[in-house]
Amino acid sequence: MRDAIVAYALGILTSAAILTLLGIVMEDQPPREWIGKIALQAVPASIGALLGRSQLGGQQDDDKEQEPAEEASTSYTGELFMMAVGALFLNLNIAPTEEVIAISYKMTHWHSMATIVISILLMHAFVYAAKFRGTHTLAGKAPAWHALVRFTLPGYVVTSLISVCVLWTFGRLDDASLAQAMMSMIVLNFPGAVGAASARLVLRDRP
Amino acid sequence: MTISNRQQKTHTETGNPHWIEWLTGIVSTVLVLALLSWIGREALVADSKPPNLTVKILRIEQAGALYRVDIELENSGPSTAAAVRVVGKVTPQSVLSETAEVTFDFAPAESRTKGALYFRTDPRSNPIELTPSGFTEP
Repeated sequence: MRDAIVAYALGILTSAAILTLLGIVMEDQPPREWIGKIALQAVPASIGALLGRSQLGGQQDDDKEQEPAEEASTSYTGELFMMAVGALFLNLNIAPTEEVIAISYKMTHWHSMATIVISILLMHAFVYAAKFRGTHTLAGKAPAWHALVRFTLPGYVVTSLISVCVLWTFGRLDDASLAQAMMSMIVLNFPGAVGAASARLVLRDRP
Repeated sequence: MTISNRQQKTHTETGNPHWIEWLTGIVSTVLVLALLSWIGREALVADSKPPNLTVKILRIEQAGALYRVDIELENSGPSTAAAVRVVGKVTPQSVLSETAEVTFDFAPAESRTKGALYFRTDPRSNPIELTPSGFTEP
């Protein structure tokens, strides 16, 4: 809890500093706008702060963690939540750009079908096939499609929900037809899926 | 449940999962397949037809010395148009006609986009004509 608050505070401070540095927060704008911009930017910034801590964090901390348990378990909902955080982190960085919408306008339906399939394959390969640190394996003789159905496809659905939320936050769904909204969602799901998959490798529940 | 082995830095997914994992998995599979088949159906029906653009007036209001005409650009076609120009012309009986134009960055497929045009002549008491005058492919 304390970590989360510190990370959020750091997120707010760095966002305020960087938005001011780049001239995005200016004194001639109303305070409402400063707060809105900083609040929005603070979300990915604070997730980034937590990520930095878990990846680059102090050595003593790791030692402490190693001792008590050799095996840590993460709950199913924990896995889905981590995927949501990973997707949110990448999506919040990409969704404000004009490109997501512009790409979705250029794509044909065939392109978007291929994007869905590739996003799912990439997500699955990232966690189960590539031998990264933190990679996942299936216990015993469970066939490979078990992991696809139990983890990867729910992960894609979670990523889709996050994409829709983020697109809606940035007003990208206003006046768009359902088909158009789905296309934008599929484009944003591509980076979102990579974020979700890498979160499963990187983030861990504390034992 | 996922077991994480810290020595090997790998997770092992348990062999006998809770039923809720299968339920979530099956619902998700159905959703993803539904999305794919819906887009597949759209792909077979929709592609390659041009955008179909129409402009309509939402409301006319006086804004200072000018008159603001709120317009809505509707694209009922299955493909998106970019850089859509809409030209409005107000023709009073006595003097020359006045034109105003606006460019919409995008008119997404099967969607509506809003905008406005300004005129010095009152469009409420004079005939007004709105036409989309061109677009590019995105």
